Amino acid sequence: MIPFEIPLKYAQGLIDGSLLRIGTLIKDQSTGRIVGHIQETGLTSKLLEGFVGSPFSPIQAISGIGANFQLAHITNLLNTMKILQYANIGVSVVGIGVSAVGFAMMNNKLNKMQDSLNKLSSEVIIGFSELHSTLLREHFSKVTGLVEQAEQAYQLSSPERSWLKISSSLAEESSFFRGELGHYLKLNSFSEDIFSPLLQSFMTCSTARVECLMLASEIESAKDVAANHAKDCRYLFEPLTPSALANQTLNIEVSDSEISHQLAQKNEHFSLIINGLRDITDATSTKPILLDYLIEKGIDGREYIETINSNENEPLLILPVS
Amino acid sequence: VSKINRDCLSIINISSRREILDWRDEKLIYIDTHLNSHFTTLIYKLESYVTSYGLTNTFTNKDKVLAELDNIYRVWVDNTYKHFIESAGKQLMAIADKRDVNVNKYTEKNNFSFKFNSTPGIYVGVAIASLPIAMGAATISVGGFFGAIGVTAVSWPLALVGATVFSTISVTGWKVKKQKKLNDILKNVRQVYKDAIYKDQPNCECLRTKLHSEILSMATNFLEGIDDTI
Repeated sequence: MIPFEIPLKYAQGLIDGSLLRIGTLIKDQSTGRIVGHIQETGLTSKLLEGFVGSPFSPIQAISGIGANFQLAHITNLLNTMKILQYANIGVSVVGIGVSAVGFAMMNNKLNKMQDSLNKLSSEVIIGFSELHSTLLREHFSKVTGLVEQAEQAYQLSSPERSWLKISSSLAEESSFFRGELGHYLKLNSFSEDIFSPLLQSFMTCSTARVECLMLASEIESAKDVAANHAKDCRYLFEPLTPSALANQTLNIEVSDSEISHQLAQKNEHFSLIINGLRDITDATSTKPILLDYLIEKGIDGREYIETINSNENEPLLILPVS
Repeated sequence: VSKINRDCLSIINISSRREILDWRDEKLIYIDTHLNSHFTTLIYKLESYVTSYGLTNTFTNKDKVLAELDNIYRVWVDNTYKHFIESAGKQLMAIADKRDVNVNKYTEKNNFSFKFNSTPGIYVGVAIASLPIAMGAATISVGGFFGAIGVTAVSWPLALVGATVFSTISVTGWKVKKQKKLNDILKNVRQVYKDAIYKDQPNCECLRTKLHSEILSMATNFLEGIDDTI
């Protein structure tokens, strides 16, 4: 049994500053050592499944989702994220700890993204032509198919080989979406409507790869994938600044004073997005450390995934480091 | 390298990267939101000079006027540069120092191999110090930044100096249209200096871009220093 704890146990330390959250781990300020890894559960993904806003929405935005019977869980998730000092839900895009989204839910997300991209293709947006839209749809379909296969593999008598094969195919798709993101970010225009689905697709490929490898009990490989993904995130997102994005999207056909006002608003808006991307990058950077710990403790990948996916009591847990 | 040491250094690196990126983003926004108020001060000084010098003198001594306007601009650039970059450089050094302290406190540094056989914090410090302006801010005297950061005297378009602004003043009854002519001069002065501060030219970056470049370079050097220590 994996000895998870509830985050409340760490609340006082986080409030008084003796503990500090970095990415998805908690560090002791006096020793500099890791005391726990934050881990989302199947409950988190179920709760966030109904959320349709921007992935960079402030955490308060999640208070408006879910039916009444989920209210207590939503409140718990909101409070726990506050305790853990997350400012927005961007980090959930990549998963807090190992992603507990599960393949079936990943597919639901992918279908939603595909719908929003289909909508975009009918609009004239710089950097998003019909040809481009068709290409993206093709790759979306591939990822959707692979994620479906990963879910179906549970029914096989020995699914490990399938998961390994799927992981390798997802690597190609991950590489495609990384290239698309990199290309898009170099264009002299920025639209969150295009950026968000590209980002989420790239993240889905990576989280699904890690999940496949863990299910196949190949945690060492999962750690390497996670480490490379962290490098990719740094390469893609560190050069982005709110100031540059704000200036790219300014409407300069207005007076000087209006430009100043517009610039201030845009700086504030893009600061939220960049802050979310920094949280995502930090989360990806700390994931290999968690996987390393699982290896050190001899925790089986499949057991870990199934334990966190099946937890429907707590949205976030802490894996204490002994 | 022990696992604990490796994890500690990884955590310090992740924190340092985040701190430096937050610093960079904040400074760039600060430049965007505050440069305009500094620019307003410059325009006030330039306009005051032209107005106090008088229209006749401005017309007959245009070379002197242009030289004095550029002198005002030079002093303003020095002060503005100092305001935006010097304090930013000090904050950056504080981040480097904090990193240095953490690395020394939480890791056994003899387990690592660093460039220059130095501790990682010092290496990051070297990366920053290698920027002439970042450290020069504390040592370059007032008047020195102007050339040091590659800002040149504003380029007055020939047509503007020769015809539109100054020469045409005498053409048609300028006593009658004195105020209008003065306003024309002030308007052109504003435009020329506004372009120098906000508008990139094909072979000449404006001051805003130069300030941004300084911050971006300092951040990039720091981040590269961290990469080398992993």
